[in-house]
Amino acid sequence: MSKEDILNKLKKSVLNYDGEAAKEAAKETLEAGIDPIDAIQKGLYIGLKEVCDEYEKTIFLTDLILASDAFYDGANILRPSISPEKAQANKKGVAVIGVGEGDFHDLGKNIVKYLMEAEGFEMIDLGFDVKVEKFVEEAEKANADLILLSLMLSSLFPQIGKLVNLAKEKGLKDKGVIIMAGGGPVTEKIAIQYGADGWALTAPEAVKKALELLNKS
Amino acid sequence: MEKMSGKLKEIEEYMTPKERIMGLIARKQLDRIPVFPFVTAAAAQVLHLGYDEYAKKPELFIKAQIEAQKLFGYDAITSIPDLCVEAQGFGAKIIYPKNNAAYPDPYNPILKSADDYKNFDKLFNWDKATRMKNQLRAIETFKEKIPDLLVGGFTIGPLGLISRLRNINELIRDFVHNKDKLHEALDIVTEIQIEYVEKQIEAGAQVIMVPVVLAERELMSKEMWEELDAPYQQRIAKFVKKKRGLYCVHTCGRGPYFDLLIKWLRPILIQNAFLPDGCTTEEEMLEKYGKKLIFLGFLSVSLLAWASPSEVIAECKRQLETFGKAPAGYFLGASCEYPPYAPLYNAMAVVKAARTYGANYKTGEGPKPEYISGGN
Repeated sequence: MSKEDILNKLKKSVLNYDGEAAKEAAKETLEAGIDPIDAIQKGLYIGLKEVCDEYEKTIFLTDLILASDAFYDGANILRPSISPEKAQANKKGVAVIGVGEGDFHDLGKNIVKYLMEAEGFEMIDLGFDVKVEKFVEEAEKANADLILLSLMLSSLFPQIGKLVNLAKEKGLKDKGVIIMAGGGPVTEKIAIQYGADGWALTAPEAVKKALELLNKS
Repeated sequence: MEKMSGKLKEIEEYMTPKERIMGLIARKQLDRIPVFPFVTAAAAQVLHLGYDEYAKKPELFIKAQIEAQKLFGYDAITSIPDLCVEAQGFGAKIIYPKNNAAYPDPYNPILKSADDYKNFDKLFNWDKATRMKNQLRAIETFKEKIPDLLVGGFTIGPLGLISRLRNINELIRDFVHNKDKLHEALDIVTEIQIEYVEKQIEAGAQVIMVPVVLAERELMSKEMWEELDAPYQQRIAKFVKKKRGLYCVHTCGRGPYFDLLIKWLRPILIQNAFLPDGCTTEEEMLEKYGKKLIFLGFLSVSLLAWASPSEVIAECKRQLETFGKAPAGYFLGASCEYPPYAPLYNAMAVVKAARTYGANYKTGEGPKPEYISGGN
């Protein structure tokens, strides 16, 4: 089977939400000596991107989860074969992500994490019910480029401002760390009002916005 | 709304809240538009209670709800302190934060794997369902102490309940990989919820509100909703109507499937936070669905939480101008629960707007505000 065929197989496995097919194609990738980074970026990721592009048209949140599952089924087989040097060279950035303190709705956060990881970001997932201090501490430790705060409860909006202020206080903003806020009730106006650099309505848009903000900085 | 100059005055009410809401449905002339800012957990503020004691002590919940209604004068009352009343009856460990609404322990879901669905019936026990029993007690007390008010009952719906007992990411995977097992559990939970609804109606609930938050474009396809949620929700809807209760649905995500909600559930009232699927403007929503549904609220929770009372009143006025003439009727209020932490002066502002700009309301014709004679 040609490289093109295998890449196509990887892509289709994600489009069909077929984890078993993704695993099988990933094994074939390695047996054929194809670069695993190519297999992820030009195979699995292309499938996931096609799914994301259809979000809210013919594709729904449920599909994003199932497509991401297939992506990971394949990627988890390919990743151990990527040398640390190559992984570093292909990394688009480091992002700390989590759901704010007092909130446990992590569905949206997980989708953003999956998509950003697929895009090539190293994701540090802090889970849910996370204090702003923890976001800042982990961002400092990992020398992160981005902090992504997800909130599903409007009562927690002030945490965006608290996070921005603490990041400023600790010198992260001077270092160019970008802060984005999102989640069901968070609007662009609210995110910007509290000092965040960016906001997105959906997970696929969050990835685009993160890349756009990083390119500008 | 009639355009006039002069100083507006608040209406002198001559109807009881119950007469007003039933009059809205029957398309009668009303003293003013019905109003309900959906004050649930926020009522704790009236008695300066922490949300933990408000949720755990039914006598305090009842007292706070009655006092809040008397203070602000809105037209309905709710019997639930938060959204995990039923989850407790199924054995979920509930966390009661002091400063926010209660929620089930996310680290320890009751349904750990899809195989647990088959034992679903063994999870529920009426004897241990203290929070559900407290809700019934609240309904009985409201009926006895404030008989002129429309008392709202509630069930979170079959999938809504399961989402509180199982990790949501895993539940979504079950939608595809473990459908049969999930259907078994949905069947069981629907029967329990019907029994629960029956008890609420017997206790005095006249309205039953059910969230249908999965019937939304951002969450699942129409086909999936029709397969996984609609048949079970329909059983509850039919039962409520058979018992002559007012069946009301709540959606709070983007692009709710109003067409499917009408097809499967035929609610009399619908509460939504975002425009329905297929509509891009409020006018379009009105045009497409205004004859079939009474819209309940459309005031955003962000507005209620963060805007000033004058901004809230201005938005109420705008909404009355937009939705006031809806052919099936309009019920001024919040699009979702009044934010628990939000200052209550905005609840007061919503009621004031109803009394001023919503005066002399009739379905299909809208309100006719009154002016102080000779005022300019």
